[in-house]
Amino acid sequence: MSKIHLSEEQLQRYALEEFAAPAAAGHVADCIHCQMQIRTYQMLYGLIKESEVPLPDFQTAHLIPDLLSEANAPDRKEARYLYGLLFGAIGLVTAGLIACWSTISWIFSGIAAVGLVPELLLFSGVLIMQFMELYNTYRKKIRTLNLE
Amino acid sequence: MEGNPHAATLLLRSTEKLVANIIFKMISNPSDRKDLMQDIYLKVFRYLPKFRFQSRLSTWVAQISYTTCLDHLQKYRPELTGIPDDDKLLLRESAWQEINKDTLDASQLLSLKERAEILEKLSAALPPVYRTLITLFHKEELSIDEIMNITGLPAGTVKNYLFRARKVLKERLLDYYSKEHL
Repeated sequence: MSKIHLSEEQLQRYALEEFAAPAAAGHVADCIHCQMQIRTYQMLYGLIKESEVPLPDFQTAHLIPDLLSEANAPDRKEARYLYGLLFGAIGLVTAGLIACWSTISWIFSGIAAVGLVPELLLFSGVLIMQFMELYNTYRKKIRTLNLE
Repeated sequence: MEGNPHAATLLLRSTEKLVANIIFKMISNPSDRKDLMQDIYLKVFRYLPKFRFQSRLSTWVAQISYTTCLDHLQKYRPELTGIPDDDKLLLRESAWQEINKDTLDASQLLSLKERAEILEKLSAALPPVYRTLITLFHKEELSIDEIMNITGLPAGTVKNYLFRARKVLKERLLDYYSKEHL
């Protein structure tokens, strides 16, 4: 018989009957320590399996009429919000450009075109990175709802 | 589904236990649970026409439940969403002390209901994600692949969290029951 106790992972898998190496089975047959650990895991799994499903303190079926009418209503709120945000941002940038045009042209008047390229590249890079981060954040939600 | 309360009821009946299990494991505040249940089924009914049968319907509903609860936790209880390391997990002793205080003799706790209560208290010390994974795997008997689909966690992470959660629960159970009772 092997005198090395089963690892914690092996004990968990043994209790789930996922691990049945002959050497391990031989060890467990004679090792009270491992038997006790496995029995505890089996008891734990049994307790979880036997535990009652929690019941909400409200009737879920009563929610259906309201939910259906709400779900079938066109979802204009989010679209309005998004369009508002987009046009607001464009308006704000345009207004800023018009108001500060003389200052902006003065800043860039002394810089050669070659000097502008790295700045534009840097700016674009930062924008792309921010966009990717935002996209990754919402990607999982979009996938969950099958909107992709 | 449009305007068909019967179909909606069938869908709700077939998935409400799974959804309730996820909500109850992740959200401790009872008043938030009803709102979340409504929010989850609103999303389900709204986006059902776009469901492409890439997974089982119940898995898709569970996915929505999990992400909705996770969003809620991140918004209102940011401290609970962090996954503690093993040491911190073992140091969460508040629930354990409560059990020791309430129950002096293991032999008094032989009934199934009492043991289930003990398990509930032990689980309460675990982070919500651990509790949910344990429930999905052992109670709902979902495979690792299905849990991966629901939670979006990689297989290794799911297995690791399950391993750590089981280990903590087992150690606490071992502490609780004397060797004679096992």
